[in-house]
Amino acid sequence: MSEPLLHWIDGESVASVDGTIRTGTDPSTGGPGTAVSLGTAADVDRAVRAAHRARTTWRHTGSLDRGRILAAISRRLLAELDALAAMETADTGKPLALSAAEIRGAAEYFEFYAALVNLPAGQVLDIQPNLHVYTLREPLGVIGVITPWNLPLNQVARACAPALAAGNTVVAKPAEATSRTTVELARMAAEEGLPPGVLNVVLGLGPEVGTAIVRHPLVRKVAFTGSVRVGQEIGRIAADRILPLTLELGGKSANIVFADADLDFAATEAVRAYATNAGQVCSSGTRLLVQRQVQDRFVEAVVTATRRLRPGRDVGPLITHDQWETVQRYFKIAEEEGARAEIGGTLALDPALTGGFYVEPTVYTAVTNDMRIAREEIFGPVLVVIGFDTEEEAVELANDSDYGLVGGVFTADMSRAIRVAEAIEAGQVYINSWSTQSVQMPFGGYKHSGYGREKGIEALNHYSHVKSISMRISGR
Amino acid sequence: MIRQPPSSDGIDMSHVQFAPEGLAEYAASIKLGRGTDPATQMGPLISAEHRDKVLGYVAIGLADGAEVVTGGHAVAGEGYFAEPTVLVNATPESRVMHEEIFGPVVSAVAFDTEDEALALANNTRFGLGAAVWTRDISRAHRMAAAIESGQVWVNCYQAADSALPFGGVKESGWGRETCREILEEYLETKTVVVSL
Repeated sequence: MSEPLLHWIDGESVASVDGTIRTGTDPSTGGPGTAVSLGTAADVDRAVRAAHRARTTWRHTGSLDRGRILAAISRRLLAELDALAAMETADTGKPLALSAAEIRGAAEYFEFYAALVNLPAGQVLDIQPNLHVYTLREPLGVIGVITPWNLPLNQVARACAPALAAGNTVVAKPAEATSRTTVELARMAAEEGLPPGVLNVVLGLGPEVGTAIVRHPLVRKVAFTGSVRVGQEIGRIAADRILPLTLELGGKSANIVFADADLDFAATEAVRAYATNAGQVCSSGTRLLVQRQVQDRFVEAVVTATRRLRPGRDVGPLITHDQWETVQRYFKIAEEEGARAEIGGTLALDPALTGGFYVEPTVYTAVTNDMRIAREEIFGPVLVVIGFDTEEEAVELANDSDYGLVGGVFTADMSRAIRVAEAIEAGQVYINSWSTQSVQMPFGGYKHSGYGREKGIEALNHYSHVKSISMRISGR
Repeated sequence: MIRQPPSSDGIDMSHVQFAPEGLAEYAASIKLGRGTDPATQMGPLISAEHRDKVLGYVAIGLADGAEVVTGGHAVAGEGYFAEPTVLVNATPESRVMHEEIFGPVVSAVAFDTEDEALALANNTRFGLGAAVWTRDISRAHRMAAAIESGQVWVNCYQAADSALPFGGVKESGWGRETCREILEEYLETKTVVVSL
């Protein structure tokens, strides 16, 4: 076994105070992967105290100087793009081009927020002649950032860049299966001038390290991306601590295709919506709602486009063995519920992929919106297709979900596009192209998909809070 | 917290009186009575139970070594009145320094330096309101920024206005009421992307 990955605390690489080691697994072969130190509450305490000590230094670093460091981190990520993409692909099995795109996205977060270091600004309020009243937008202090294994570096950058730009310090915990690039980020950030303690990384398991972060009395906010179940557990601890959270918890997003849409383009977008990253994206478009008069030919186009996706080349494996089993369980559930697999519904057919955690991209018809495969987040390359007749029916189906993260509308009728986009209960809606996500666009959920917003100028409000100051003016 | 002259950090504070006496004198002068009496400055507590709880804290403070400068008793007769109470010499760990009493009880603590004042101010689970009284404008801004609280009043207390964000940090809560900020709390942001 190779040397295990170490924590990054207070500007240096450190071993666990008293922990074990996880031997990793390569999801594309099932063989050995990256070994990782599994920390404990003692490591979290060390990291949080370092972050707490660093918070005054960082906050009192001039805003432009903070911005320069964030910009340097962005440039560094791009300079090391190939190496970082190789690490990400080694841990996740995803195609290299996808890893590279995610890392460019991570660099963009730092680039965007580097330019906005002055934005969490206050106001002067005109209230009474004998009071000078103003507000400050202050950092919260130490932020806990807990990220999942699907887009490792990209997700940690999404939370860290605005948190640091707003003057907070961070203790990050990446998923144990995909920790390498998060440690690399902290190391490179330190080399680019980020002071010790401002960005710390503690490796380990959620119940041990994640819980210790949420419980630590010096942590003032937690940003969590992951499952609803874990989000709820974090919420319970946060309730005791009166701890603010940003929760980004996934979805079962509807992609609505009307008969008047550009159907060829919509079909390729529908496939991109559900199969990108082997469906391991919280904002995947996994419920395809199609107007009945074009349903058969649209499904055919989707199946044809799906057939072109080759596991192992265009579609990576499921990233963890557990997730591979989960997807296989849903194949069984689909069968029991009477859905029809138009394509897929099996493990990968290519014998060269044996051992890796691959499945065939899958499209189900004969699905109703009350089936489990239409209601639960599968987190694999699995699409369910449901027909509708009217716009009202489409909106009702789209919103008949516990989730509300994103949605898509394909139609040539722009009035309808706007009506439907406004009626969909979700944080992001795409019209006539799927998931044109970028750092500038606020992202986050309605309902069980979570609360708070990441990305955009909006995110800065979630990593800062307002203090109002009233100063009495005498002699007036 | 009250600045104890003479100053140990070299600033002439000799014009400032160590104020528990002044504070106590004012507290003792507050006219208690029914809310319907125009001369009333302070009404009763909301219930007998709450009055007993408030006075229970005075007893806790005394047991922890604090002294009562004024007040500390229920008012005899009808109604659930408690006297405005000034405690001094409470230990930093005493419950009267950390728990919300929700009655007319103040613990006055002397400090020497600005750093000490700040450490005392932030040594709490709460962070809703705080005030600084000083003529030094740099100190006022330093303290206002460093106090962990949703509101800071400089040379005034409890200035409130519907345009002024109100809300806490730490266990005082999160989110803000009143002001423009509040609208954000009742809105979801939706991003709509139209492909052209």
